[in-house]
Amino acid sequence: MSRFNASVLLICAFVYSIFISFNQIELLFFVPVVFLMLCEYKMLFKVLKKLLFLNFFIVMIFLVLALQGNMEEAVNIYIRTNLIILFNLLLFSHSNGFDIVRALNELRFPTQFVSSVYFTLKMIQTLNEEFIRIKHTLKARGFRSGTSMFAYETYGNLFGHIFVKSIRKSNALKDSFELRGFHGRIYLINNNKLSIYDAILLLVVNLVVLKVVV
Amino acid sequence: MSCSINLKAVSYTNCSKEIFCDVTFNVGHEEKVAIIGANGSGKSSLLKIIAGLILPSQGGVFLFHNEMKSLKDFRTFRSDLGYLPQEVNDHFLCPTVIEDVMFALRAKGENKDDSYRKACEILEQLGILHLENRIIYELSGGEQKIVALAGILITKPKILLLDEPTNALDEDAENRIIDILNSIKKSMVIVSHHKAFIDKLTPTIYKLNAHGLNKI
Repeated sequence: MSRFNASVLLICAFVYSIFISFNQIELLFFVPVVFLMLCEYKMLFKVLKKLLFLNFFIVMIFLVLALQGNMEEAVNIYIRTNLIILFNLLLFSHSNGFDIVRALNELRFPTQFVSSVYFTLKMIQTLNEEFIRIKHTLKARGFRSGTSMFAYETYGNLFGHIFVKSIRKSNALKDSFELRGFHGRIYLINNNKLSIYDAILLLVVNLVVLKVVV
Repeated sequence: MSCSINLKAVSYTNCSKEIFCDVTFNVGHEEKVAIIGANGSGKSSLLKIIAGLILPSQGGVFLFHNEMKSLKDFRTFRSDLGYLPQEVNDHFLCPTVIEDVMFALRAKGENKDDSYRKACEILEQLGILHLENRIIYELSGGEQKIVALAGILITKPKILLLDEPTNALDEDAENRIIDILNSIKKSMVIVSHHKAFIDKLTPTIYKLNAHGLNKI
């Protein structure tokens, strides 16, 4: 479980990402990331592995800019992108998605928007589980991916299966709405407690903002 | 004995295929009725007809002696009906156990503190208060069924409609569900293909087939 308040995470993610995106890199920009690295040191390896994977795409942008002779800009964008991604990965390393819904609710986003985000996440989770189940079935039944007609037919069936499943799930959800008296709002219990970690995170992110603005 | 549910010559056709016809039966006040049948015999569809989720092709459905002519008619009795679907995952509308159990009360306009207190009471009764703050989707199948049952029982429905309540559960979880259902004094229609489970709940058992319901 995360030691941070979900609303604080969401605000910090938004503010930090925006301010870093539009400014030249400064040493102070590393402070929030270092702080999070210290807080989430147990997750660090997992997060860095994800970052490394994402770097394949960032390197492409870097190469395009570098080859155009814009070396300084290329390095700047490379570091900024990595900082933003690393910051967000560390922030949400414990997230199961639902805490983002909770944060939206706590931040007084419209109730129907909060419900829509929640049910979208729920549907993604359900379809992901279904996809993993089908993947295991294909493996168990000796299917090998390739470029043959059979493989493409199988992919088509797989897509069709998930599509039908999603329609069935939507209908089941509609039934649940009817049965349980849903009127466009889910009711969540807010957690308004702030820990010392939240306070420090807000402080370091604010320092970044002040540095940029002043 | 006053009747909670009456079905009169109900038939159901899906995609031009007749699933069952001429189903007539009554469920009395606080009576437990079980329906068994082969796969595809229409047990779940029958339960959905009683729950007001689908309409029968023919025949009449009566709740507390009122005929339900359209799905809208069921809205008056919605809080009297508690329906547990086969896939409980479809039932949940909130991320944590306590929030989902409280949901129906809050949707009816009850305040947060009262809803919370009542939800805790029902969780305690069902022996799952320790799961209060857990994310529902991380619970086991048996725990999810009990949480779903808690979400239904909190509104104090007069009729419980349970579709395969012990589907894919281990023996311990099944026994727990049996104990809970035996302790509840309400009209119940239980659909299952698990005869041993049904025998522990009620002596009133019907078998559904294409030609109707036969009492066993």
